[in-house]
Amino acid sequence: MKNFFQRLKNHSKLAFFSFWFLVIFYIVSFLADILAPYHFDYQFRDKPYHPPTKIHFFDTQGNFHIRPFVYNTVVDDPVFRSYREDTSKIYPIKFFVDGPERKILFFFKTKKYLFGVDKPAGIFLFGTDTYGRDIFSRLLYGGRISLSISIAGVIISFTLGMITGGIAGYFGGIIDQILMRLVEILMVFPSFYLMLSLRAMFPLNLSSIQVYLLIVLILSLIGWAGLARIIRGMVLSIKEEDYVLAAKSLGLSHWRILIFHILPNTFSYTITALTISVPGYIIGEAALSLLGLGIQEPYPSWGNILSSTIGNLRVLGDAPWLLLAGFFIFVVLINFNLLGDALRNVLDPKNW
Amino acid sequence: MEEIIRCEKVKKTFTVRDFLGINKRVVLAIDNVSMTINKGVNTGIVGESGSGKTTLAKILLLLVRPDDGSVYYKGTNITKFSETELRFFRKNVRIIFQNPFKSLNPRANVERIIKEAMPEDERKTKKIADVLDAVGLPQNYKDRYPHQMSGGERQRVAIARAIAGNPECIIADEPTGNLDATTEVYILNLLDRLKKIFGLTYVFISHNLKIVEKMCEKIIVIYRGNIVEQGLISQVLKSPLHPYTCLLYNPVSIKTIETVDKTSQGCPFAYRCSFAKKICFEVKPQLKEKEKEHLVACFLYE
Repeated sequence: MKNFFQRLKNHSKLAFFSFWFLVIFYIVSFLADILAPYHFDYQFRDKPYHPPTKIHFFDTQGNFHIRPFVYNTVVDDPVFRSYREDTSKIYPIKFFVDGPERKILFFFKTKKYLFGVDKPAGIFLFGTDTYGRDIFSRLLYGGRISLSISIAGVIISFTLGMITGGIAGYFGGIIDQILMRLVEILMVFPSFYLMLSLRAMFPLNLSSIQVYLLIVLILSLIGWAGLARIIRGMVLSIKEEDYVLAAKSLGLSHWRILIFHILPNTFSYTITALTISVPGYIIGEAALSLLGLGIQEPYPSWGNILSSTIGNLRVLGDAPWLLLAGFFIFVVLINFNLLGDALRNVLDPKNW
Repeated sequence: MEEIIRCEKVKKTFTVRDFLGINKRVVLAIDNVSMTINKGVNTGIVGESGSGKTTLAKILLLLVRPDDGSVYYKGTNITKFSETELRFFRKNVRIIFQNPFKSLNPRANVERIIKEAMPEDERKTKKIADVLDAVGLPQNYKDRYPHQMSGGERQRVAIARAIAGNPECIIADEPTGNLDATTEVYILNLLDRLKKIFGLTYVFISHNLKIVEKMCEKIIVIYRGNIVEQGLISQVLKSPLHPYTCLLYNPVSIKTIETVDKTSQGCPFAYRCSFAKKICFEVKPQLKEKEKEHLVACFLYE
């Protein structure tokens, strides 16, 4: 493992950075319960479309405060929703504040959050949405869903693809015919409509956890076909190699040959394809949520945070912070692509 | 003499199709070959490229199933056995491939390559160190990957893999074909030493008669999938009978017609043979005993 990091670092500083960036991203979103100042459905009824809160060190008299603080804001113009800071009282930012109990990842209970301010003031690092919910908190909670859906989906679809493609390519004949025709049936449908129709097969009023599992299932069911096809092609050529014949001459079982001798030699392709397809799952989830078929309100995902801006052109001008979810998707996507490219080289023994 | 592998009238054809699959060309790779490998008698199979040596080796190992004929292992017909049933055979008969750059899995290190080659019940007791010692590789090589080794070292790993299961017979398919002259000598000496230590029997496939002369007691000459001459080394190389053997042994001394891509109804060598008679093009010569254990398929000796 230590070797792996060293090699990744030596191979590409950028990819090394991407790797840790993603690790931190995942950790942060999984610790959303501690890090988010507000719960994802907590509403500030009087502060919709609130711009990001200004954090101050100097008060109106010019005195320096070692502890940063915010002012409470009041609506200045109810039509254009502009806010004015009420400078009569300062609300210092408190760390490890108490609040209503939350469960970290459904297991550990916590009452302490990393930071917060006293009410009625609010700290909105990235502003608020239509209902006065803190975007920063929602992005953290949403990241938990979006990022875990993509990883789970990728793992399921790659396992399916490797197994199907491997079996079809290795055993050939009638097995190959059956499996590949199956894959082709799946591939002839445009994936987005297949996704929609698969979703349409299930009722709309599912609980959020059911929807979550359903989306993972739908996304991975769509993703594996193309991969299986490519893996089959690679297996077809690899199984003619001398080392596979050598393994056969040792009397190893078919499964052992397939799993230890053939499939590992497809990794140069699959690892790249795997990391590059992660963003596809994030986008797939976003697309479903955007159409209201994915994660339902009030549960946040990067997709449905973004979807709340669609059809509301005013938002783009007046509350551009709502588009931050798109920026997060973009950043994760770039980092996965950078990492994928480097991983292929790093995990190939030829470069050790 | 105890026999290890015997094949009887094995035949193998490959079908070559063109792009659209309309024109078929059937290539006869092995044509009615019968041969026996006896314990302790190292057999050399010689022939030029494309004569079917490697295919014959793969048939002997049942890595390629023959179209016709049977392969016997110690008297048991194993031609139709499944891979599971063949496991005992695979343990006892191993192969060393020609190209060590292709025959080792690039994603496995030496330790795994050797460990995999040991029968499951011996994996715990038998040490990789002993196997590495036997082929003369340093102990720290067990963590190396194939691309980190030279051709000779890779071939030694391939040999280590072959001997790891304690086989009684090893089929070496041009084991030095891709190596330089000094490494070649080293590998041949190594094989010779291992033969004495483990009591191995080799089947040596080569186009180089000098190597076969050094390593083997018996020789089989094949041309286009047919055995044209077979016998003890001393007999065959002292007095080669078949014109093809003479050509192989001393390529410059005999004037022959250059390679003709035609096969006759009769002797497959007829178009290249400077002694060819009319009958050679019409009837196929059968292997006949000329001296004791020295067989030749040629009308010149009838």
